[in-house]
This record gives sequence, C-alpha cells and structure tokens, in this order.
Amino acid sequence: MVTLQTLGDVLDVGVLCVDPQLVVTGWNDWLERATGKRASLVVGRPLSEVEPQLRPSSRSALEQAVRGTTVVMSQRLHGYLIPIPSPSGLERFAYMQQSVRILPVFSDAGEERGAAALIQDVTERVTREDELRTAMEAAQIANKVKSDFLASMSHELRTPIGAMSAYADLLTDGIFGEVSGSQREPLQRIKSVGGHLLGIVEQILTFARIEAGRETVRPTEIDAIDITKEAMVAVEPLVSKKHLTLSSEFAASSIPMRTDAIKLRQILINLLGNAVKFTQTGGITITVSLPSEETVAFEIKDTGPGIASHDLKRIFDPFTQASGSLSRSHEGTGLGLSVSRELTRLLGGDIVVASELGVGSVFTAVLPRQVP
Amino acid sequence: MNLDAFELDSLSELFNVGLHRAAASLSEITGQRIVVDMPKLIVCPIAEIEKPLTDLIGGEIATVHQIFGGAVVGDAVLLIEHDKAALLAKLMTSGEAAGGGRLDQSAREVLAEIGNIVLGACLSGFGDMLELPVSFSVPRIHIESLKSILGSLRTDAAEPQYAVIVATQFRLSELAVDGYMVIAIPATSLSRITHALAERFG
Amino acid sequence: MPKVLIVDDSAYARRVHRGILERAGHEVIEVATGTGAIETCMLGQPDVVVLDLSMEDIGGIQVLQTLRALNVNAPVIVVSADVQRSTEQAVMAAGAARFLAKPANAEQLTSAIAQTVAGVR
Repeated sequence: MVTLQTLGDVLDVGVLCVDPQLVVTGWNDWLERATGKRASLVVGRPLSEVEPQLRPSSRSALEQAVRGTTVVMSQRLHGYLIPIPSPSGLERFAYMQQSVRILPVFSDAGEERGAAALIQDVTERVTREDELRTAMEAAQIANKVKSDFLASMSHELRTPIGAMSAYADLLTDGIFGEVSGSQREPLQRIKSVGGHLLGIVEQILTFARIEAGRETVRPTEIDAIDITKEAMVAVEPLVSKKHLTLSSEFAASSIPMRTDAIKLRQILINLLGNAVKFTQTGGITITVSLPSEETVAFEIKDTGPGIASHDLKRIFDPFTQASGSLSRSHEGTGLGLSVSRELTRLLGGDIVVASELGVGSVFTAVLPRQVP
Repeated sequence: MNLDAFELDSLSELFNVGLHRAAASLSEITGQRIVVDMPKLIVCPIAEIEKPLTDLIGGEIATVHQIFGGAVVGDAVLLIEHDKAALLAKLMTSGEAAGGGRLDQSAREVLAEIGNIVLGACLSGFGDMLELPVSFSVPRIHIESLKSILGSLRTDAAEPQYAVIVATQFRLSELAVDGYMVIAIPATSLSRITHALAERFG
Repeated sequence: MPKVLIVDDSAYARRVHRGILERAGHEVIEVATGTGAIETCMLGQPDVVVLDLSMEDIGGIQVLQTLRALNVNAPVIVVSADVQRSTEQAVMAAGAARFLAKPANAEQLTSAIAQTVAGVR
C-alpha cells in the first residue's frame, strides 16, 4: 500500500507527520537518513523533544496547519523547517535549505486533525542561484568599469592631440613669430600627423565602444548625397597626393534618409579612405543608387590590386589586412573595415565586397532609408 | 444576481480586513513594513470578466492559483504582472530572489507563499462570516497570459458562476505593486456570504 | 450613556458599529470623512469617538493629532483593519485611548467604550 511516507521516499522528499499536540506520528526514510534519527526512536515523542532547536516560527507554522490552513514556507523567507546539517560540498549554508509545504490532514476517525510537512532539499538550487547572481553582479560592475574607462580615455587622448594640432596652427599663423619658408612644411607635417593620429584614436575608440555595446544611434533627417559629398571632400587631399581620380555617380541629386549622419559619414570616409590607401594608379568611383524604395546603396569601386578570394572572408575581421604581397605594407590599425561594417549594421544595413585580382575591388554598403 | 452598493461595500470591508491581515503576516515574516490599499471590487458573472480584467492587467502575468472548499467552494487566483512580481520577490528577500529581474525558482516559491497568505487571509474571512471552516488546496504558481487565465477560470458548472475581482496595491519601501484577485464562486455561495454580512449588524 | 461619534468611510462598517452601539443604548452620530469628524467634534461634542484609519480625505492619525491640537477631550478608540504592530504604536503615540482590530465584535467595542469613559485616557 502506498502511504504518504513511502510516496515521500519515492519522490525524495521528507515527510514529517504530527498530531494536533505536535507529537510526531510519521517520520519517513528520508528524514532518517537526513537527521540520523531512527523513526522507531522518534515516533510518539513531542517534536520539541526530538528537535530541541526547533524555531518558534517553525512551531507556529505547524500549529497553523494543524488548525486547518495549508502553509507554504519558501526557502528564501524561512531557510528551513527543521535544522539539518548542510549536505557535504555545499558549506555555503550551515543548514540544509528547505522548501516546505505543510498540509492539514484528517485522520480516518473524522474530525481529528494533524499536519504533514513535506520537506524538499533545495540547498544545491539555492547555491547555484546565488552563484549566478554574484556572477551577474560582477559582470555589471565590469561593464561599468569598461564604460567609465572608455569615457575617460576619450577625453584623455583627444585633449593632447587637439592641443598639439592647435599649437601647430598657431605656429603656422605666425602667432609665435614669423615662420620661414623652410619651416612651413615641417609644421604642415605636424598637423597632418596630428590629424592622422586623431583619426586612429577615433577608430580605436569607436571599435571599443561598439564592442562594449555603447554606440548609440542618433537618427536625423539627412540627404545621402550631401553626406557623400562631405566624405569625398575629406579624402580629397589624399586622392590628389597620390594623383588618383575621384568620381561619383548619383541616381538622384538628392536622396533623403533618416539615419545617423555622423556614422554614415564615418562609414563612407572609411571605405573611400581604404580604397585610396590600397590604389596606386587609376581612380575611385562612388555610386549612390536606390536598389529598392526602402534602401540606399553606396558602391565604392577602386582600381587597386584586388583581393584574393580566400582573403575576402577575413577582410572585415578586426586587426587583419589581406595576406600576400601586401601584408602589413600599409599603415593603419586594421580596424577600418571592421568598424565600417559594425557601424553599417548598427544602422540596419550591411557591407558586401566583390573583387578581382589585378582589376580592383567593389565595396557596397546597403542601408535602409529609415534606420530601424 | 446584482449586488447593491451596500452589499458591495460589505464585501469590500471583508477583503479589506483579509488583506490587512495578510500584510501584517508578510511584514512579520520579512521584517519589512508592507502596506495594502483599500481594495476596489467588481462583481460580475464569470462569463463577463474578460473586459474588466483586460482593462486592469496584461502581458506576462505571475499567478497563484488555489481551490477552496468547505463553507464556500470555488477558485481563487492572485494576479501580478511578471516584472513587478519579480521586483516584489526581490525586495521581500532583500535582493536574494529574482536577482536578474526574472522569477527564478526561489522567487516563484516566495510568490507561492505570498499568494497562499493573501488568498488564505481573504477567503478565511468568508469562513468566519459563515462560521464554517474553509479549506485550501496547495497553491500553484504559473507565469501565463490573461487569455490562459481566463481559459482556466471558465467552468461548465451547472450553477451560474460569479467572479469577484479585487484590486489592491502592495507597497514596501518605494515599490508599489498592483495586485488583483479573482475569486470565482457559485451564485449560491456568494449570496450566502452577502446575507451573513448583512446579518452581522442585526 | 455616552454619545458616540463613528468615523469610517465604509457605509457597511458604520452600520455594523451603529447597530452594536444603539443596541447597547448609546446615542450615535456618524460621519464618513476625517474633516467631518473634526467638525463634528468641535460642534457636536461627542463623549467618545470610534475612528477608522483609512478615510479618503485625511488619515486617522492626522485626525487624532488635530483633535489633540484642538484640545478635544473625548477619548478616541481606533478600530482598524491595519493590524501591524508599527501602526498600533503610531496610533497610541498620536493619543488614542485604545486600539481594536477590525472586525470588532459587540463585546469588544462596548467594553472598550465603557472602560475609556470611566477610566483614564
């Protein structure tokens, strides 16, 4: 015959039965094993005698059940019903942590009541939950440390570079005295190197911000053509220095979009700059078209050496440049394409590349007209 | 069966006393001051509860469900919006349960205990009125949608079933959590209670 | 027999208390708001006040404090559903003569009135 006691043993639950005076009437195998007290020595004795450490709250919970109310004792609020040493390996808690339900029972004789306490060992579950919570809190702190670092680094790096460029400007303008002809070029180089350094710093910071999930998108109403022209102006100096051509083809004279202007400009400057950097002769063409009503495509074609097909996959990975004869022969952080793609994805789009060795490469950024 | 203003008022008082008792128990268990609002009641046939409930609560709902019998027979459910329930469990356990903003197993248990205490305190009030004992099933906790709750409350009982919807708010520290109870009981049980309440001043 | 003022926003609670007190022979006046209670105490001069704590306009504790400030001498028996110890302490500190938990039965209410009127506040 299946009794509550044996059912408790099958389900791995302690079953403690008491009568209305809190005298023990049932003590199953689980309880024997957990407490080391044999049922034959416990049944028939008052619970307070069997468990002298029984807390007042446990006692009143049993009394409540005996009077007819179902009682739930959650581990988080009560800890345990009866003190049992913690299972080995889980010494975080001095006592076994228990989840308890106490049910009123009616004896066969009718009116007479008692209660049955069903006790579940949840020490392991609780330990895991606490560990998870601690790990989450640590992760949150680490994240905050990262954000704070990024914020202060931004300032710490930009300020001296800005100051350096400002001084170069002041010197060039003759504020500190007349500048001779032979001095002009070195001053110009300081400025240009400063600008270059600032560009690298911005790229690193953007990369770090994206990694930390801290880049936010600020959409405004813009004209894609205007932004493209601004990007072209930014790379113009490098284009003329290398005696390359830079041309454009626009599907319309004006293409309204709702997206983050600064990020779009950065993406285009990155792609154009990249094209210029790897092209020795010929030219760069940027085409802005409308593949569909909801998308805008920015295609940057160059006449550089092209990219081998096995390199195409890795080209967007951070810190890599195509292998082969061009490996590390070009300065740069190796972050440009990675950042460009991440920024494009932030704006709801993506970048694809097609290339032919000896002919050139085509990088196409496709963006939704309305940032999602 | 329509309850007049006086009968509704008397039922509100009944739940008011029950809720305050529950709040006192919870305060004692947690060591924190927990306050409940004077409840507002809506009584209607069970077939008509969808609209008033939809106006009150939605989304993911944490529910504690108990069946009661004896003096009166019926279904009782405590409903709290999941995220608020997680916050409540977290605050009541000093941040230990539901740390991640979701109801983990420990937090669900805490909620089961809260539900057991709140529903029990209110329904024993019924028993006190009729001077007969009320017994309760073990509380069951679920995370479900309003649709699922409505489905589980609908019965094919031969007798007309009524729903008493009780709206209140639990407050501890700076947190205010809206809580709703739905008590589904047969018309005969409901009228026995309102008659007993009316006779109290006789 | 002392004149009793009942203050409670629940019509049901007022009716129950009125029933108990009238059967015991008291004269009963009732109001549903805190401000009504203060006005009635100034004008109607009850001998005892039976006060609930949760009125809609101002709370019972504030009523207690205002009555003390206005030197109203009638003892106040608070009858409330709020059975938390901290509430009872606050109520007694505000000058109540007694605190009863709702629902108060006939015996509790009538003996509380008898005791507070006869004895000290």
